Amino acid sequence: MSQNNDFLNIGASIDNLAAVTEYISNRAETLLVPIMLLPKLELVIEELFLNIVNHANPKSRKDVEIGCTRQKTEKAPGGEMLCISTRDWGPEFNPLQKEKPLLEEDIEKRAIGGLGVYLVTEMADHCSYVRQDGSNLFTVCFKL
Amino acid sequence: MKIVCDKRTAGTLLQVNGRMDAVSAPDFEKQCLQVIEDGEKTVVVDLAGLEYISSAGLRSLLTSAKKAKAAKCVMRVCGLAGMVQEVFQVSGLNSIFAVAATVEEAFAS
Repeated sequence: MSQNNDFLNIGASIDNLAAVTEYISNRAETLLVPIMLLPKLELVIEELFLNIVNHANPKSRKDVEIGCTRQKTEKAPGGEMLCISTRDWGPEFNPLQKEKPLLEEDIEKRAIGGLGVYLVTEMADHCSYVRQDGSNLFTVCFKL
Repeated sequence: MKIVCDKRTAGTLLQVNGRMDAVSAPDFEKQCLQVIEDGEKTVVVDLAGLEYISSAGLRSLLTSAKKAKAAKCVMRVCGLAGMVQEVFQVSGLNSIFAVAATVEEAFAS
């Protein structure tokens, strides 16, 4: 695991979930993010990190790069967004292409999985995916 | 996460406190399924003390609810608030589960 001001590099393992969540919490505090946003940030990073652990576990490079920054934008009334990014070097995988789960199914038919990415897209104000230099870069932003 | 199991004459109450994430959710599922396998016919899951839930927690609740239904056990949820309530609404689980405001209402309904 390594960390500088902007990024945390950490192995794609569920054992590292607590460290990843702690990194985001600390960054949110440093960046003076409103405390009411914190549970959403923790949810988003858990879903994204475990998505990588479960579906895109890289073979050549084990680490996942996680970032958390404030960014200027014209899309938010306050002029700024808090953006979380995850980058892994696994096979191409765009979470935004996953089908929306069927939320109206009754208990017997309701699928157990598929809620993680859906929760991320519903909680965030903006999500984007790009395949860049052999990596999957996923960015999730919240208006401040 | 801390789970308090309270066996009552009306059924079993599971009070879940803290965080239900990918690491802790299997513990809840294991305990809830054990109660159902032991033959309980009414289970109330009180989430008033739960501060955080992720999709892993929702999966454990869904798995438990499916097993309960198959075993003809009634499973109700109560005490939804804050982030946990929002996640329930967004994921549509509040329409799948019998949701009550309080433990007393959950056992009475």
